[in-house]
Amino acid sequence: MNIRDSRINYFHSKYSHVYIEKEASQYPLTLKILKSLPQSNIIMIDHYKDVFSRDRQSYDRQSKSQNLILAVKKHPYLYKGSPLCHSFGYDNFFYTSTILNCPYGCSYCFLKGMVPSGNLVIFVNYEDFFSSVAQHLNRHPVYLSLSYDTDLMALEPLLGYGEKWFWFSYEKPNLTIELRTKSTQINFLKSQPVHPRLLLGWTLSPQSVIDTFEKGAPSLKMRIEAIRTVILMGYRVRLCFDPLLYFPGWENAYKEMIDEVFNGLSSNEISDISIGAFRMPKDYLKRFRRSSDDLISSFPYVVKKGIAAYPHEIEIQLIETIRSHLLHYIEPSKIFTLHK
Amino acid sequence: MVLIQCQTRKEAQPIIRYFRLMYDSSFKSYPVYSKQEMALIISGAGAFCACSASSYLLSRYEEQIKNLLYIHIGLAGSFDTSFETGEMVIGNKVTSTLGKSGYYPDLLMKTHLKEAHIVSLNNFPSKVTPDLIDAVYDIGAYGFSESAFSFLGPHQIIVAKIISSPYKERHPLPSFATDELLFNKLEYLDLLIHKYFLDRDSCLSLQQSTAELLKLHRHLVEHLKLSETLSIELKKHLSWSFKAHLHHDSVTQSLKQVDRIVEETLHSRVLSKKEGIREYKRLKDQLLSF
Ligand code: SF4
Repeated sequence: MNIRDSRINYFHSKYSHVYIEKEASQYPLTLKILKSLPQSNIIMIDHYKDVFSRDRQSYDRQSKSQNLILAVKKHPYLYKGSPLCHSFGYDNFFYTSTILNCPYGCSYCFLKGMVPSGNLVIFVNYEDFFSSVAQHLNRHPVYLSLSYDTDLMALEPLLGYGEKWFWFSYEKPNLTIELRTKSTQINFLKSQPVHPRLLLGWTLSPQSVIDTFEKGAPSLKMRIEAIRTVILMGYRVRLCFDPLLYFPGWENAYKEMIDEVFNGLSSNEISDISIGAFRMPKDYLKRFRRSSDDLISSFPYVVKKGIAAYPHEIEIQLIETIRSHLLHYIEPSKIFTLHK
Repeated sequence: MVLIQCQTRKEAQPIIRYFRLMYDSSFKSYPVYSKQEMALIISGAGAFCACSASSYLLSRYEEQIKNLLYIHIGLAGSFDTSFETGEMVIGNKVTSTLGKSGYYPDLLMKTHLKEAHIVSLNNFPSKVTPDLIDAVYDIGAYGFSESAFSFLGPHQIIVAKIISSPYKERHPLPSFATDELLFNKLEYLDLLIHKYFLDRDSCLSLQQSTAELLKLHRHLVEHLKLSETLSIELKKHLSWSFKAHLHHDSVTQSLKQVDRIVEETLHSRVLSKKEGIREYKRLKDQLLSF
């Protein structure tokens, strides 16, 4: 074996180590996860932050060998949505984080600037999240984003959280849930009735962007296939072209992607479309840049009102080009754009 | 740069031999053996010595702090019968019997070595206590971690132990035997070190191009008479433009592309700061477009 052979991966495989908070050790979900990861090293910890919040972690290195931290979340369980995200006109827009971080490693992900670690925290006490949502529902309707800062569906085979939320919300008429994903893990929907208040959204990118900037995420073709399947089940789907990235050849890459997506999809099968150019809270930018040094992190962003984004002309160029191309396929009222 | 820390000369001897280290008289407070890219310090026994020796060595290499790998290595005991005499283990958790919170080195690289929870004690234990049942015990790992974790990231720290007095053998091994034990296991450590630095080596050609870019940047700043703020901004634009071309081309091609864009600016007529700013704005737009 030649140690200098760069084709060999010297990193441990995903989830080679599972850190477990003592308090989380006896939860049914913990036991289920451990059963499906029999080879992993188990390390007991007092609190998830003892591992997740250590100083000077290398997000980049940790993402190459992502580990799990199983923990019990304490209050609060729900948060108000950020103005940087689309709320699609819904009042009472909340998000919840049953998972911290994401199994995919997108280069442009704001999580790199937000969280201190490349590891994944899974809160195993999902019943407490349900109770908290139920309390809110006693007071007002709730629009709840479940994958606001993770890709919950990507972890469906391991956690089954999509299915749990599905049934929790199914008979609650004032609870709408949103699952946004890049994954193709839709099996849990196949044997169920259609959920009238489950909004399924897919983030789509040109294949060249996926290859370069969306490490570990399924190809464009596979995502389109998954969209077609849920549409056939009876769902209407939200498409997200967000974040749009500026790179050589972006215009053709995005146009070709849009043509590919709408080849065989009709506009009434799409509930709406969100478009937004890359942006990030200024406070995340420093850590984000420390975690990687690529075409995205090194862009000389313009900071305005605490948000780092492309210069106005580039942002407009990106959004308007994509928007006008989308108008070949879909009515303007279904397109939501987010300008900084 | 790799730093190694041992508690005793007995533990250090085989490592010095394996890595061919030489006594380094530039260190006055502790015995240190070194060669290019590696230094070994002998801390002396006990948590306090382990802690202050690592602070001492780290302060010497402060400028290279981001590129350091720090290894604490030494002999240890265990009541866990699954560990064999002579086996090398690496710590995934380091605690002390004083009940303070633990340290967790990141174990990201593949290795055949077993992992263990390492508990640091003040003395050789006379009986098995609950926290020692599955653990490996030593004297200095916790003290070392207290200091190492305050300077380095968890991916830069390895705590390696060689089981020298397992439960079945009541007495620690004689020193000639531990010397052999340690020496024979060092290739595992060597392998881990190589794996750790592989990532960095793959960036070398990019580092060279960074040097080229910095040269271009210097010329531009001088030619355009730029202020400090604009000079920083220009550096960001140059570096991004290089990466944007790298998206399609090789490192050399990408450098050439940036070079081509810059060339015209360097030949422009700039007699005042105002003219410099005008040229700079033109260049900036060019660097951001494809
Ligand atoms: S899928 Fe979304 S949350 Fe996950 S890494 Fe990519 S951008 Fe981040």
